Amino acid sequence: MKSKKGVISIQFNWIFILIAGVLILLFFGSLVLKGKDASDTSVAGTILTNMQTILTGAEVSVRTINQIKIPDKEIKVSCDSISVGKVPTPITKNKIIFAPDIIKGRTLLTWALDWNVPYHVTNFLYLTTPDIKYIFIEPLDDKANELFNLLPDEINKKKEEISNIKDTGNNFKLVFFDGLDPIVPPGLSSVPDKRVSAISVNSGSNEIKFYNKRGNEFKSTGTADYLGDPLVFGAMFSGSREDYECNLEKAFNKLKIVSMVYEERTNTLRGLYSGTGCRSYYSAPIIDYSTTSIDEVKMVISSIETSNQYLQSSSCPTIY
Amino acid sequence: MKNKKSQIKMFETIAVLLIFFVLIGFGLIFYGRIWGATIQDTEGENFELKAIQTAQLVSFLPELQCSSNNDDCFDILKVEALSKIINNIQNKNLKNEYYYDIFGFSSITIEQAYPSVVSWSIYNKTTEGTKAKSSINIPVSLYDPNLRKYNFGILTVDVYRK
Repeated sequence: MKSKKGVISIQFNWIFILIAGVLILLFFGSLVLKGKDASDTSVAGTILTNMQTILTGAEVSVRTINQIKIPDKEIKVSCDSISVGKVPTPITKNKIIFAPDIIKGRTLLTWALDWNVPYHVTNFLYLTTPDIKYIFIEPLDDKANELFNLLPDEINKKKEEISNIKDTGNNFKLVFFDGLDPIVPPGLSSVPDKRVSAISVNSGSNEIKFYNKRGNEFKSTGTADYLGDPLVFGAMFSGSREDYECNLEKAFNKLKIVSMVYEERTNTLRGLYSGTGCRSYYSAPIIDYSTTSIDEVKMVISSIETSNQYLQSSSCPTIY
Repeated sequence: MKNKKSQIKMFETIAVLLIFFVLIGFGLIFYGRIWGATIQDTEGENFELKAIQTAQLVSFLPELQCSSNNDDCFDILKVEALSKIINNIQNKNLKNEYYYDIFGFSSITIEQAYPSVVSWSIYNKTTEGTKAKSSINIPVSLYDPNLRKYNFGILTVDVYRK
């Protein structure tokens, strides 16, 4: 009887140790997991805070390219947010950032251009990595060559005929100009579809067509307007047509606001110079892209430029 | 007798476990407090950073900048125009949505100090229960396109934290 009791007592001890051991292991296991999650969130938060500072700084240093060393984490960029892992941070309505959907690698290239239509409206920020190769398809006219030369040398860029393009292990963005139908270069036909995309710029209609590779051909994903060279670069650096259009909307919204300021300013000048020859040139330059076509916007821009030139030659305060 | 011995042993084990968990509990509370303090410090740093970014954004705002693109130069007619547009009740969406998205809870004023004293309130959105305020003053040139003269002024950016 006594020996039976001892056996039960020993067995109970073992069961007790087992349960307590499992509980302790679970407790520490969950603590480690939670700690890892918290550490990941903290790292992501630090990266995003630093990114915001870098982007604000880069945005105001127009026409300068910055090579920034970043942690080897996947950074997702869309028109209204940037996220690292599961942590997103919003991009404000005044920040216009053209970037690929996903930024990978240790080097981030930032470049900014000012958008003047005709007055300074905003600065566009372009993000890319050395892994993305931008190929301008030859033959190129003077305008296309000018665009190519405007791109900083630090950006992985090349002018090439379609038959000479070879897979170098990069992601490819092909840029076609007027009259050239996008075709998949034979050298890239076996490259996975998601590594190759293209845009076709039509300067006559101020339109850009976006393409994704599907096997041996390019499929169009849609068309969007552009106004000025900085937006051609915007389409080139964008990950998708949707992102480009979202940023285009932000840009035209900003144009509307800046135009409101110039309209108010011009009205004041018209009042101040009411009895002079300057008055007639102070036409109100309000541009609302939501109600007008791109051609009408271009006409308004041209009329403001002409008025400004007249004002300058007549020694009157200019519109911009 | 043996039964009592094993019972004492059992209590001993439970007591050790209890003390173990109490110590872990104390450790966690201590760690949590330090973590909380670190988070508060980081929040404070981020707030200061946000205030600097806001001041930088205002300095380079095309709605205010001189056309010649001079750094830290504001066009007086643009300053007047933007102040009028933002503070116009008809444009409250512009203030509450567009500019709130950029400046958040803050107050932006430009004060001309020379040759005469004039002040413009560009944007002002405060909140109840403000915990902290960061104030940044930047000297700026104010260009008067009518007289074609540069005046001297100060840009004040106050950023509030809830």
